[in-house]
Amino acid sequence: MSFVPHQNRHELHGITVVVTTPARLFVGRLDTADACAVTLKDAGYHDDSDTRQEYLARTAKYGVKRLSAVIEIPTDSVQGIERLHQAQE
Amino acid sequence: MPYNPTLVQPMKDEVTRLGVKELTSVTEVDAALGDPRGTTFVFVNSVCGCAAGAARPALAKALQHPVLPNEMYTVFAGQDVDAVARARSYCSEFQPSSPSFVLFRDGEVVHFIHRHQVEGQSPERIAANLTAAFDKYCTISV
Repeated sequence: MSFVPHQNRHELHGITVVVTTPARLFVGRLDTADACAVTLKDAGYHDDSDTRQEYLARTAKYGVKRLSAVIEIPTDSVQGIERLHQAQE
Repeated sequence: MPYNPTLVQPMKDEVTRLGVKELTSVTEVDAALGDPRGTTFVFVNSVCGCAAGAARPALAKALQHPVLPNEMYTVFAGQDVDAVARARSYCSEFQPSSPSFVLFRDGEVVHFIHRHQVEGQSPERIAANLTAAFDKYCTISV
């Protein structure tokens, strides 16, 4: 049987996504998402120094400022997940 | 730890066979990017199949375009670590991203395509992004 990378992973596995929660906006590469948590790799987040839209625009232009190698976000706090590319369209 | 060279060589070959010169050391990067005159294109290649699997075919399509940068280089993320870090130092206002495409004109970054702009995109769409930048920045204004 041949090796298939990323088999049985979330459809957005490896994709840079924006995860919206009431408290924060996170951006990073989605690793896993299940009933417990959404896990992002090489992730950054909006820190209230500007608006969420400004943060997203800056991130789309200059890239994700990595603040943590891995961030786990409780699934019950997630309001939405979308691709960064689409969040800017 | 860098990847096994045998693993990445086919991915490097896929780019260098297009006429893109590979940079593997800090010295080579400085020699290539240290002279800011004209237009210079850098492709940060990578192993990731999710994004680089579309980026390399996109590059192949884009390089068939009649308008191209003066110089074209590639570095390989996760493999030629020092060369990649040095290349990124020339566009340090941008966060590290691989794969990615960078177009310089007279030493200034005029177009940057991040990994997130490659993910899930077709090679045709990425190539169109590249060739639009080539048309915009690589023609000589009279």
